Amino acid sequence: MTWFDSFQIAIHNIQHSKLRFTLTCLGVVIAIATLVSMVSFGAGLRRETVGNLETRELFSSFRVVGARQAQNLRRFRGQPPAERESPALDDALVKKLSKIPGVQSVQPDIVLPVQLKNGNHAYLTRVQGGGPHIAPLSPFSRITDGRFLSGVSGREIVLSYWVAERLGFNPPQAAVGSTIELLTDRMREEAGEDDPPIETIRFPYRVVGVLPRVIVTQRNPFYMGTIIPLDEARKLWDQSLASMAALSSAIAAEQGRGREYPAIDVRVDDVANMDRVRREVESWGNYTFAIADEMDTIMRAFLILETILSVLGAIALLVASLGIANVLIMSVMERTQQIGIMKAVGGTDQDVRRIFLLEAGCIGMVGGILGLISGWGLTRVADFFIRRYFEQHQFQQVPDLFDLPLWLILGALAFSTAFSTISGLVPAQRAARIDPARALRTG
Amino acid sequence: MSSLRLESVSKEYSMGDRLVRALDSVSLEIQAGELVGIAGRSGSGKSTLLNLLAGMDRPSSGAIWAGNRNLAAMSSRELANHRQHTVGMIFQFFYLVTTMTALQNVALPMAFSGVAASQRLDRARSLLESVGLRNREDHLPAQLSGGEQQRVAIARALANDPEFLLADEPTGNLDSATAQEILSIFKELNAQGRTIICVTHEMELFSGIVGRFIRLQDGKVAN
Ligand SMILES: Nc1ncnc2c1ncn2[C@@H]1O[C@H](COP(=O)(O)OP(=O)(O)O)[C@@H](O)[C@H]1O
Ligand SMILES: [Mg+2]
Repeated sequence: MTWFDSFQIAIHNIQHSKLRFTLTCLGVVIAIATLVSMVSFGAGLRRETVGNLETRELFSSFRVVGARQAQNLRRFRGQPPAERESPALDDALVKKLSKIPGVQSVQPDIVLPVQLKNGNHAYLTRVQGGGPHIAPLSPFSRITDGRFLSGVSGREIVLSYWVAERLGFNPPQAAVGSTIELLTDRMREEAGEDDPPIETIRFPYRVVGVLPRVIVTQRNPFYMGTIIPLDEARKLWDQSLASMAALSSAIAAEQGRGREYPAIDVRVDDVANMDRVRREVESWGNYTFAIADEMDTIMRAFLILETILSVLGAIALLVASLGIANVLIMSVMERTQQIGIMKAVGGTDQDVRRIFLLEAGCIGMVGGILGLISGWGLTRVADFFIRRYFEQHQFQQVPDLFDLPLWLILGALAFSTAFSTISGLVPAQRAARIDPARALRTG
Repeated sequence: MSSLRLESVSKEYSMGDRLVRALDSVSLEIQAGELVGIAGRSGSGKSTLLNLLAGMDRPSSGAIWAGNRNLAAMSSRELANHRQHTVGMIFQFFYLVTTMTALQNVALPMAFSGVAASQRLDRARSLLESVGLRNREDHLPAQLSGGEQQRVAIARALANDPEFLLADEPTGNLDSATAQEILSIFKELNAQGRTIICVTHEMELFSGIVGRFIRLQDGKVAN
């Protein structure tokens, strides 16, 4: 008997027990839908965190950290303390870094506390120095209201969504185009006897853009909400007293060492150059930190998450398989006579076995296809609610946290069909062993 | 043309710890072209004998020769092959597949024996026509009378054009007029050269068509 004929008989049998077939399939559908939506969630999270463009950018950037932070990191990573003092993170180092072949941009980490004022709305926050060279990094690349900084100087500011809201802009996007005030403190240069030694300076800044509110995975780890051009930040930072960094940099300046940055971010033009550039910087005695170092840990966490999700789905499938086996054994018993007839008119054990295996396989296949569709539907429903939740909280550009890659589609189908066929093995073997003489005995 | 020959065939069934001897060293021969009746009381071993000839079961001892091939020594696959090509079975309770139409039932053995799908339905139709049921091909067994079902079963038994027709009480479930119809079909098939072995306990009914009776008593040939 050909496979096609066996298949036709299997389909015939299925058509004549529709309700039973449907119910058994339903078990598989639920199992596969669970499996697919769970794994889809794992895959979506993986894509959003370690698979997306922003993350890939991270693989080509690292941070040179100052002596104190280096010490902490070494302790955290169980490394021995530095043997020699690391070179200062000053402008000389910035220059030296930018000269290494393969380095695309060098960005000293300048962050200072300021007060922003819009009319009678004031907000104390931190601003970071930046420029067009960081525009391709998320979330700056995702800016939809206004634009990003056009240069490293000029009184332009890009506000985070949150800060714009605090400053009384409603909606926050309305801030684009308006001018706000930036206030910071500095040592008074020429102090009279009655003057306090610290004075507040204020500058008008034009808001050129408002950053969208995006979820954590769409930010870069060095993200700071509000940005002004780097040179402006440097000028303010040189004078500002309001941060530890500035203080230590002032001390360093007093000791004649020049101003020091807490950290310097370096981007290379190609991931392939990353190791070489980092090694060179470390050979100077500086300590570097890259997200890529943490990748193993992150990937392991994902593997664990995905394993747990798959195991949950597999358990559902296992339960469904027991259902299939149960139903098929029942149907073998019910169809003993039909099996006897098939054998009496020439069916071999193999023919009978195959018909039952195909019936089991069909249940798995149909259940798998419908399960995929329902699983996908489930993720869409979940996505709708997740999206609505985030949007109600003013997040923009919420990513799809579910992913349905081809390997998952094919895998789920193969898994479901294989599982069902395997659960059909015992019933099929029983059917194949039925003794036709006994099955058709009358007297 | 070949014959069917039993050489001291015994068949025992184990019922728990008890052995039931259904056939006790039976030897007999059926020549090609015969129409033989197998008679005997209920439980005398008639069905057991027929099943052995059909290759539905193996003897406990002895040899069953179909031509020069011994059924007792065949693998289950070879036995299936024997059932496909050499014998056709007919039963008291017809044993049609209840979910299949008359046409599908008649075509079924050809699917097992590997007849090309395109030829199966044509042949099944002409077989149904030969038993006078051409216009009932799409009917399910439940929509047919007992006599009609048995005629479908005869058409099915002929599907692979076997040398031997083995019938186990084919009229046992039919009224006498209908039984007569079945008998005349047998007579005609035998006249065309088909060997027919028919189990019955209604000897008077069959005495008009069979060439001889083999009588079984307690698993032995009783002539
Ligand atoms: N599968 C079986 N298991 C146990 N005993 C059986 C089996 N088949 C037949 N028998 C026994 O063998 C004897 C012959 O049965 P059978 O050939 O069916 O007789 P008949 O067809 O002449 O009525 C009976 O006693 C019956 O109970
Ligand atoms: Mg009997």
